[in-house]
Amino acid sequence: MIQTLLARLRLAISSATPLLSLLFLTFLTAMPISLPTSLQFTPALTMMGLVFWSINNPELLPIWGIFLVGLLRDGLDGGVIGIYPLILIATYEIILVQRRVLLARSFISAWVAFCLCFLVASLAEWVVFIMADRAISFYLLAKHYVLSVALFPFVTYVLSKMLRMIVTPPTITIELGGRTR
Amino acid sequence: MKFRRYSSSHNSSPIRFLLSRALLIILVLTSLVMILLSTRDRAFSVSLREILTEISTPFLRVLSLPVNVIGNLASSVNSFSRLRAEHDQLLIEVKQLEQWQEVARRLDLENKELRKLLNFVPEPGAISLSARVIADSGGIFVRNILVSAGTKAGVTKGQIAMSGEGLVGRVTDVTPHSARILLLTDLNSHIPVIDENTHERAVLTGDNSPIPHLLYLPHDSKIKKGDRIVTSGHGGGLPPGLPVGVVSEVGENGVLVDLFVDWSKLDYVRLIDYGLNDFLPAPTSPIPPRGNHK
Repeated sequence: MIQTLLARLRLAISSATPLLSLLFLTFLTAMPISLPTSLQFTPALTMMGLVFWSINNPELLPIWGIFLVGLLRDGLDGGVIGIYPLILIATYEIILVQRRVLLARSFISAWVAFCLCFLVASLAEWVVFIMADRAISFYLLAKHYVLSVALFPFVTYVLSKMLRMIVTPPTITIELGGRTR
Repeated sequence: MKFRRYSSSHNSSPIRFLLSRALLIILVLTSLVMILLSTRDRAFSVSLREILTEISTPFLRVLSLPVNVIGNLASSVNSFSRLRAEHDQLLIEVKQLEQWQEVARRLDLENKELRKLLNFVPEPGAISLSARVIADSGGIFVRNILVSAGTKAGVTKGQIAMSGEGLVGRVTDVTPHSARILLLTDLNSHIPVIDENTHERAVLTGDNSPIPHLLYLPHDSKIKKGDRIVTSGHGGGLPPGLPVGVVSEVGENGVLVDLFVDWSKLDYVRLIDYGLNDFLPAPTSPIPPRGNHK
């Protein structure tokens, strides 16, 4: 009975890991970390996490969870409420459509997918904020984009370790002849 | 060892598929409605933001603790390595400050005498409290921070936030347990200031970059690099004389101001109420409402 409970607990943890990691990345984006004055902004960690899990385990990311993560990010940011849920949901759906292709290819494809999705998301956010009388310089936008793209491999490396250890642990299959693999 | 790979195709029924698509449409429409309301209705935007902030404040408080501890540890290690040099520097500064203390005492006495002669009405005293920084928006579109004190601690909208070095910003939104401070570097931040050297008035305007600039200087401005910028008190919203920064560049890009506040070491802020909020409405939230220009 204890083993069944443990198995269920393990299943619950592995199912919740993608959403919890997205929440953690969102909170991490808002942490008061001492950054050099020239940066003064944090990279798009939530977006990186979303792209990773959308490619690898989209069924563990409920759409309502993505919406709530986006809402939380907007609340912490203090900007236009509603923009990030829309961006995250759109990114998720776009990645789902191309998932087979991305899974079959190397990590570079995932990186390119992130670059393209994040480029469109950044421009869309920029347009919305211009409409809200908050036009920032294109230089700032470009700096943020380059920093986020550069950090994508490191963030996804950590997430891939999480994927291996928690979400898809190694399984042992036993053949009929008694040999184990 | 064989790794399982999740398949993307489920054996989901058509009803389940339709429900998931319906939920997707509902969430997308909800997001669009929220965007429209945020840009047009300030009250909606502020209330929703306050609810989200209040829900996330306990998590931010817990998560920001190790960040503060690590930051302080790094500062301490850094300080140890420069201990001798800092000690010598501090001795020189103490001697200079002792001289300034004497000057300040004489000026204070002279000030009191002059006020008596002019029947001067004194400004109301300031009430202050300290609060820990628990979140930094870190975004490129809005520059603000969250602190761990709210209405229950006596924080109100419009209060001034200062660090040990200088002015940080003003409180724009308050919940029972937290407050949002719009930084001087934010696009919506406009502070009336004065050059201590030339006594020229201007408005310090943020552009979401680390270095804000001065607007509305006179055409024949004599402002130059190195001039100290303080609040002018113009308009009554801020008291005069609060340290803001130093002019770092005067040229084609305009007049840029290097702020005194060290953003990389902003762990605590002092929230001060000078009792001047009755003169001006509270500062606008990061997103001002569109179309309401009455």
